[in-house]
Amino acid sequence: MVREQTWEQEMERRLAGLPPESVGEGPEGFTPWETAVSRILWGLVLTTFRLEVLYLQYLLPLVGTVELYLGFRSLRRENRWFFGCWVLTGISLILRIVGTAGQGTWLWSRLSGCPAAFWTVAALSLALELLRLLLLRQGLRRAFPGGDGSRPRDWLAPGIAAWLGVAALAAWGTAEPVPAGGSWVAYGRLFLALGLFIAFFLLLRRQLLALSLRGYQVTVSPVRLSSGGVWCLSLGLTLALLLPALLWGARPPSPHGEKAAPLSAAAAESRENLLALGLPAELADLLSEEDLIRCAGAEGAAQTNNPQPNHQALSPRAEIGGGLLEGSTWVVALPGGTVRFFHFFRWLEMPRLRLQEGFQVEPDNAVSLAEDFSGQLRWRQGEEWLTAPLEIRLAGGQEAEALSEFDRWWYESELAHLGRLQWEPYAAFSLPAGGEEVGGYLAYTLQGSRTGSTVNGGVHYYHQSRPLYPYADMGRWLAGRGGMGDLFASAPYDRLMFQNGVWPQADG
Amino acid sequence: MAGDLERLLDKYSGMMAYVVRGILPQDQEAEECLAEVRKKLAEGLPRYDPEKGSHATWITAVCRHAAIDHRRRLDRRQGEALTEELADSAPGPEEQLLQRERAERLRDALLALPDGERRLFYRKYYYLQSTAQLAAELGTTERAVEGKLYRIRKKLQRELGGDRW
Repeated sequence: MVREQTWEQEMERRLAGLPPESVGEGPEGFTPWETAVSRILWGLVLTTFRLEVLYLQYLLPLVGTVELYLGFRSLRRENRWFFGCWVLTGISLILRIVGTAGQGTWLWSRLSGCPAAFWTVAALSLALELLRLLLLRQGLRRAFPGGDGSRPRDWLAPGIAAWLGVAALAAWGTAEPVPAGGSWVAYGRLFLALGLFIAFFLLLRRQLLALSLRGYQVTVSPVRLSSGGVWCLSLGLTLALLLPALLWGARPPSPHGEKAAPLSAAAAESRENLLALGLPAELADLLSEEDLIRCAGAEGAAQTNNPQPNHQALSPRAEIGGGLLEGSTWVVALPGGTVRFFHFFRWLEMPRLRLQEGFQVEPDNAVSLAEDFSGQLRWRQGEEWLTAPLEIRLAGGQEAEALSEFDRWWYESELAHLGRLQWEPYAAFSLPAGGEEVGGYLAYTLQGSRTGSTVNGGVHYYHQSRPLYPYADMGRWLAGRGGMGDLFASAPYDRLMFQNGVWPQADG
Repeated sequence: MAGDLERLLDKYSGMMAYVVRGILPQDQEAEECLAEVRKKLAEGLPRYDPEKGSHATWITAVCRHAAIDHRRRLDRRQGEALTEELADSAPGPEEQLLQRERAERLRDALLALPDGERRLFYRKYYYLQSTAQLAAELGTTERAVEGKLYRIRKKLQRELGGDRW
């Protein structure tokens, strides 16, 4: 202790001959508010600018909000405007933490997919930010009078106008990603937003400089929790919420299963007929009562096969996500010249994770428009067998007017034959928790057949093999045909692809 | 000249009070000291040389010096142990050279510190701000400030060759 005191006295003595300027530090830099206001300005920059790379669009706003909170925390007792900023920032910090974790859940995805909810949240968020900026401006003008009683030069007012410009352009960009004027308007919008953001940043900096030699009487509040402690708490809470969000919240609700009811006489008879025609029992067990009745009087049933040696990776079985999945396609010839396709999948060994599954079919486009879609899931829960209908949605089916010139040329024969593009039914679902031996199918009818010809189209089963942040909705991806630029295209999923092979002969 | 002084005092009064109150927290002592500072500034303004530093630098140095002197006088009146003072006699050439070398080494060591640590160091040992004031103005706890100062001290001692500098 004595040695420490001697050291401190020696330091005081020596620094008398080394004023701050000798090490490049002007006296203007030593103020009560420097740290707090710097935090606030950096926080504003980080929460305004959105950098869509390496997850920075999630990290930087969180960092910025914590900095804002720390800055306003120090100034909360100076005046009521700063106190208001502190309260608003505390609220936005909690919302930011919850939102950062929430973006890993299916619920958040549903909310953001609902325009009313999305725009309400966006509007409230913008209103909160704007209110905070206005309170900050008022707080600065009151807390930093000059020696002659004047207020500091107001750079924040034009800064707020620039910020509003950025917000308006961002809203326009979200509402209308590619405006009617074409891509040059989109580029112009982008550069204007960038320019306004730079102006916002420069005006914030000018405001900081305008506070020089002012505000020495500002009251800074002591704190009980260090800034490091606030950081640890904020990041710790985010991670604590993120983990369950990714593991459990990223799993959409499973279909509600009901105990498989005994088949009616008609359905049982149809099932027997299908078994006699060659359909395996384990696949017939997957069929619903309604589909069995549809198949009443079936005249033939055959599995499509994969004859072309150049169709690679078309194994009917694949190890996916630590499990074993099997797929097959059966064609049932019905009275009246129609055929009903049944695309089956069965988990012979369940996978490690049960997050999202997708099942997508591309029916043959050379026969007729696919119609009468149906599907079902069946699984064992303990000793009971449960079933649930698969919710089938349709992608594709565009008419010529809705296509680009290139697409109209590319799909010319399909449009000529079917009148529109072929439907592409798909189902997005999650495997039932605790369910074993899960299987299912997707079915549709075509008017006619092409016996002996190659079956056009394909079947794809997608299994999300690890958690994904942010949550990307499998169904939304399948609906958009999963373009290269789509987020889910780079998602961690496994795929079993089994191609329809050859249309079977009429007698199966 | 009087007008110049008035303008300086108007412009820097906040800064002057900030520097003095960091060393003399009691209102009465601070006001007395500020009165002395204004007198010194009035006396020193005709001799002020802008080549040696800005007005802010000069005024800060006067405030600091006056506040430290005022505190020493208070300590003597209250019978507290005298703090070590510089010897009155001018140092010899050898001693002057040694002092210049030490000052250079200390300056280099301070320049090697990150900006935030350097400013904290100056707040503590040049402006003599209390740990409580430092903690509040930096938005952290006193314990965190003490920890940072301890680490800065260790760094400087390593840079400057241990305690025997």
